[in-house]
Amino acid sequence: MTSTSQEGSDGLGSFNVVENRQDAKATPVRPANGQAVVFEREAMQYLDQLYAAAMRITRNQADAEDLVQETYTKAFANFHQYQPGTNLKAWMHRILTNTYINEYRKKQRGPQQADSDEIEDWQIMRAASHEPGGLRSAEIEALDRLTDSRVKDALAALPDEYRLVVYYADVEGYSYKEIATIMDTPIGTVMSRLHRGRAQLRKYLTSHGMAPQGARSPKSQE
Amino acid sequence: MDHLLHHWKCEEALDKLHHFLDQQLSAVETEAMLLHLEGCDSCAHEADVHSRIKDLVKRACAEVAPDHLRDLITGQIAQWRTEPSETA
Repeated sequence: MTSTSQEGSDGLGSFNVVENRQDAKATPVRPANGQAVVFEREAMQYLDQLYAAAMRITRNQADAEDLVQETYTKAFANFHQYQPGTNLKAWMHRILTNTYINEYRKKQRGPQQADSDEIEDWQIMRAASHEPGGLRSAEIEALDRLTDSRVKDALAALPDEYRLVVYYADVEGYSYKEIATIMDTPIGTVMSRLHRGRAQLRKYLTSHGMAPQGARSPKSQE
Repeated sequence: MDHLLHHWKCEEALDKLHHFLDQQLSAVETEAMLLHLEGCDSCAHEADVHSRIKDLVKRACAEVAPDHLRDLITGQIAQWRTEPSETA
């Protein structure tokens, strides 16, 4: 589980933010006005991607909108810390992720689960393999029939840590190293969560099992 | 280059399967994976299933931010632009 200590409570992890946190939250210390022009030009292009991440992370539209808004406020307040030429979208996804973990998750309901590390990843994979050929084709057919909303339900049923890693790898195509930075975890943890998250997702999506009902909050879309 | 290629067993292939699908393997490892998948129906099925799930997730997660959210944030930035800076 990612740290919930005060250390990352400004949502910026180790970006070496020096300014006063109370000020940063209520009334951001603003860089020069020209910065707002640059910020708008650079950051607004990622709104859809940040909103999409927020929707999957919070699992409801109202919280997703608040989270995105807060992410932009924090990103602007700390824009002078951003190094031009590095990945701005990943930097903002990191702020969004940290903000969710430190401020939103406490308020949310939904499945929570600690990592369990007793089983080797290859054993998880191996348990699922070695099916007779007929079951294999049935599994592929089950996947072919899936609707987007069924996939979103299955994702929503994953524990936060698994869901975030799967999301960033599959949707954003971030490298494991980038995901480790975004989630403030060692790269080994990223890989372990990815293995487990995908094994669980596969179970939900194929004939092996169903996602738990009622995992999504009432405010969920569709 | 075949002399560099050591032949992977299922354990190794399954352990590295997600690295392969996420394009996190080196060229040599990718070669070893492809060679193993060619000769192993069971692991090839695993790769097929997880590759399909990856595509499904990507397709399902596309979103367009609502206009009112875009307007709200753009409006907020416009306000920052007109306010005097406290630090500069």
